[in-house]
Amino acid sequence: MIGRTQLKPDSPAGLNMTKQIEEAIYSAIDQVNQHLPTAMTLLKSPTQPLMGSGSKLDSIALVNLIVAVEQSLQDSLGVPLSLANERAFSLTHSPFRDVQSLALYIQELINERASSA
Amino acid sequence: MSGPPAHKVMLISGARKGIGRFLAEHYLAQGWHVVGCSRGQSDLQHDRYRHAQLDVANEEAVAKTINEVRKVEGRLDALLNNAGTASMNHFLLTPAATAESIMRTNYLGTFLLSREAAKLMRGNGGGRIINFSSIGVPLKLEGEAAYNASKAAIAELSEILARELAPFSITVNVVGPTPIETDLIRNVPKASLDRLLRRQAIPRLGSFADVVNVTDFYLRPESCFITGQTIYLGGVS
Repeated sequence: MIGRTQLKPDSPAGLNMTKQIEEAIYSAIDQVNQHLPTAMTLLKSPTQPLMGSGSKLDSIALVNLIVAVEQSLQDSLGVPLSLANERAFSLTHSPFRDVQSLALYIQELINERASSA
Repeated sequence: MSGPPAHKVMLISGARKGIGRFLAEHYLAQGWHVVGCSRGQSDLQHDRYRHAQLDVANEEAVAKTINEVRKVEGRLDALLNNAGTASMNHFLLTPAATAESIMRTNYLGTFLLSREAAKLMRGNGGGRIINFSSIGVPLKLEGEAAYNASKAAIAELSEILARELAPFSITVNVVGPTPIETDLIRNVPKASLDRLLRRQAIPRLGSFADVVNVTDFYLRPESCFITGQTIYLGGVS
């Protein structure tokens, strides 16, 4: 479990967390892919679209992915995060548009959580 | 889903006493693994029972409890959102703090537990959520504006959750009990209680068994096509 210390993304600990976040997202993608037709499965890539015109996910599959990422983060980092908070839906550029933006958004939430503790 | 399951897990809020305690003992006797929760400790001892102390309106505490269920039990099959609080008073004499407290425990608690439980149920192929309303809602009881509003909100919430959670094979239904001999009605004047009972088709107090009869029905495997429904006891509709 990570502590409640804000980490700079380019510090060794920050890089390690970035890696863990990426792995958590990929673990969730593995789970969701099990229930998707082969033609619709997601790639474990930073540029994989999750939402919008380039995404293969329907709304239910996206919900499944978000919840799976939350559980995966809880398991790997011990961080209880609610990804679909009001801020996520108010941002002009949704953090759910692709894997990379989701990872950055998660990093921000973790840092905010650390600084508010 | 009723009957002696191999490893079926149920979460019951407000399980320390009253209907919640009865439900816990009933489903333990049927072979369920039961996780009870309440603000206080429970003295219920059983090898398939665990108790979590939490405020159901505390988002982080609810998420933590459900996560512990996931880690320890690996699944969740049923949620009985029984926790509730009541207060009777004329509308003009109801403090904001009372209205807020009732809404937090009754409505927000049901909202949060349902949301986090459904996330876990999603992973094990579905589940059953049973929420608790009250016959006070259809009877529009004077003196219960804050309480009834919270229970009406639960019924409305349940009907929409039934639709949103159907793709995950999760049913959401409601039971609306009549007054039962519990702490909840301990301070209700006898005249008020008698007046209420006269408005029921069957004018008597309910029993725990009356409530369990409905929850058993919602939990049956054959009830997988029943969702978004409210059953009021006592012949009230």
